[in-house]
Amino acid sequence: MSILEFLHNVIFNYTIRNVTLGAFGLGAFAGILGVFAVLRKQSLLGDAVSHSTLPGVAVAFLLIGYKNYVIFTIGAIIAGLISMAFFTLIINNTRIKSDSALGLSLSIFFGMGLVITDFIKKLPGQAKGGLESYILGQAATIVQEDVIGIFGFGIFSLIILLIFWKEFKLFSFDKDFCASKGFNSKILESMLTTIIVIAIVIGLSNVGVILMAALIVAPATAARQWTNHLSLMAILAGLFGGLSGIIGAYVSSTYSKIPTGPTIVVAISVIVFISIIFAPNRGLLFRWLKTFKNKRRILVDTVLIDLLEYAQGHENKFAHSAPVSVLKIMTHGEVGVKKSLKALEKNGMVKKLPNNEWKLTKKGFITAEKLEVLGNKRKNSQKTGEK
Amino acid sequence: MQTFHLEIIVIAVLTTAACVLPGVFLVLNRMSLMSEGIGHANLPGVVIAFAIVGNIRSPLLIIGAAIAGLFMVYLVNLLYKTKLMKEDAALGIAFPFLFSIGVILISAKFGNVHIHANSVFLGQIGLAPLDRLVIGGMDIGPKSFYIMGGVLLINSVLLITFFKELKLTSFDKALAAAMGISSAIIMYSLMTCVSITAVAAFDSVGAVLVVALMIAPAASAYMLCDHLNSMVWISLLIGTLSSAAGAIIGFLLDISISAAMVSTLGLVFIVILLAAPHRGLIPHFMHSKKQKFIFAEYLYLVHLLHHSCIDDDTDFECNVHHFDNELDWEYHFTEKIANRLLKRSLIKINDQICFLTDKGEKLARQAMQTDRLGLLAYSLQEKNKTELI
Repeated sequence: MSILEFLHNVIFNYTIRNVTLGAFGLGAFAGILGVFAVLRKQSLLGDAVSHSTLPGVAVAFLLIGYKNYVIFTIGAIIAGLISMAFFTLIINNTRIKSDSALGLSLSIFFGMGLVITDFIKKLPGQAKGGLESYILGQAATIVQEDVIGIFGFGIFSLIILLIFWKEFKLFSFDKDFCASKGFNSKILESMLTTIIVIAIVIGLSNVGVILMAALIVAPATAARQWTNHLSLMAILAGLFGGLSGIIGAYVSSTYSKIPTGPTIVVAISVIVFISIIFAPNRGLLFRWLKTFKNKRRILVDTVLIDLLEYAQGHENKFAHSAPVSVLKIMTHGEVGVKKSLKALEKNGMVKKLPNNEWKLTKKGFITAEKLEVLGNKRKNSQKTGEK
Repeated sequence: MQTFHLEIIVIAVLTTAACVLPGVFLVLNRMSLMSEGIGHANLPGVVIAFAIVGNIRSPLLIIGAAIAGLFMVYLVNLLYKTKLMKEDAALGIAFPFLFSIGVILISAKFGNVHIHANSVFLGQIGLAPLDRLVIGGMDIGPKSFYIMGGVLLINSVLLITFFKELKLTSFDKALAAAMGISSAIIMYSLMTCVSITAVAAFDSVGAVLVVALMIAPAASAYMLCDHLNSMVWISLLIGTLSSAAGAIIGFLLDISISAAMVSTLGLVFIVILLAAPHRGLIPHFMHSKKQKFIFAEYLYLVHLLHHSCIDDDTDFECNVHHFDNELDWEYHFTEKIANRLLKRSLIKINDQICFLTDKGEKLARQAMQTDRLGLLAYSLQEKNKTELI
């Protein structure tokens, strides 16, 4: 399917429209809300919460006896919140670390949920199909109600996020300062956790447990590489999440055998990999270039000082020149001595003599001596520091 | 109970023991969630190995899965080392990525292979005894016996051989490095163990239960003891007993055996969490409550000492009804503290006015001289003494 065809289908085809809108909303909302989870070093919260919702869904089913998106979601949110309370209780009061506490709440809640679902299976004559797909998620079966649900819950939590933006920001970056300003950090923490739990739960029925965990972490991590501002990070995370949702919907509607949810996760993972390589200032490529440039600059300085030292070791230092081979030995075989000399020549620091040897100009002498003084000063200050 | 049930219990116990050994070190090294990651990242390894071999029963599948698990650990390290993200974020990206690739591969290549949700998350330990190892026409027990027994053996041998190294890297990485032990090698070996154990256990107990088996017994033991040796033994004991109990509960209630095992492990953990001596939530809560009283008592005494020294408006300052104003306490709380002090005869009350006894004055002076920590230690000591008297 070409992209134009896909756009046409998004507008006119019921199924594709719902899947695309659902995947987009999910990625965008989860991405924005995940920013706070990632900043607070709780990336794996998503994984734990999404597993722990099972008992909530199962109990909700036991109580009402049929499938209902809204009631399931409320049940799941309650179970997710209880598991988070369990998690916080453990890490605040015992020496068990957060990783074990997450693993414990994840597996214990999931196990108990499975016990309840097993009981449900034994109840006679009920429509119990769908409980499992609630956990595994089936993005391809999103219907209009799901889309409305996703956008409803999503916009609700976004509004709360916007209202308390300043408080959440303060809380995420500096808890103590936030408390000293008179904000109740316990309430803020539980509010933040609640909206993250909501974000996870709304996506659960559509992309499933494991994939939802990725949708919380990955967009925020990718967005973090491009900016140092929280608001921009949240917008970027939303864009990345939404984009991967659309890519997932596009790919899976083009190739019938490829499932939507996993494709979304692969797409967002690729966005993360691209971000950590190419992002300006933080990215690996940028960092590598910076190191390379620094190395070059240091080598140029070293060659300049070497020339000075070599000249100072001889009687008439202003007339003395050095061949490249000597400089190479003095820099301990660094590659790029000739290039450095060319760069120095451009700045008028050195001169090439007809016999292929290099000699400092007057400007070169002044700069090199300055550098040497600077270097000696640094050495001395280091020595006194050691003392 | 039939032999069938007994065999399931033996498999459950073997699997638990095999999982607990690496689990202890996962918990100590704050890498518990690696087990969750590896449990899921195994999937593409299995799929690719299956695509190559074409036989779902081939042992190569286990090797493929173990390699995929290790690859995930490597990917997490790689992402983490860029210093562009935290370790948990790296894990949260790496394992869903690999798991998704596995799911896409399955749907695209083997669209007709149906993956049942329960068998992925829960495994089918109830069916394990049906798959029997027959050598020379003789039935020598279920295959799982030998697989899990083998993994348990490997794990125990490795644990005993490298116990010192594991201990050192878990508690003091710098010292380990100084002594020439590469913590990277030790960690990768541990992860190899986790990966192999997870794959072997996955077949019978599923992905989520592997996490529970690795973490829950170790975390429970961590609440109870302070020595690595005892932690290993206690977690083995807790793990094996509760999974055997869980299996039996599963038979009795006729529910999924592995779900019952997880729930039992969970309940045992919750009981230990609440009641563990010293560290459990209830003793912890009681201790902090006691400290509140001790602190309040000292405050009361010091306040009295202060005013008896400067000897100003004693009638007003040392009035019983003045304390709640002065110290900003609830009236009942003040009364309670006064009663406690009276009982230990540290103060006496005459006509609504408090006085320090000699014993009380001595204690108050000491409290003024010692720092807060010393004060608490002293107060506990003093309390024991008074109880003895």
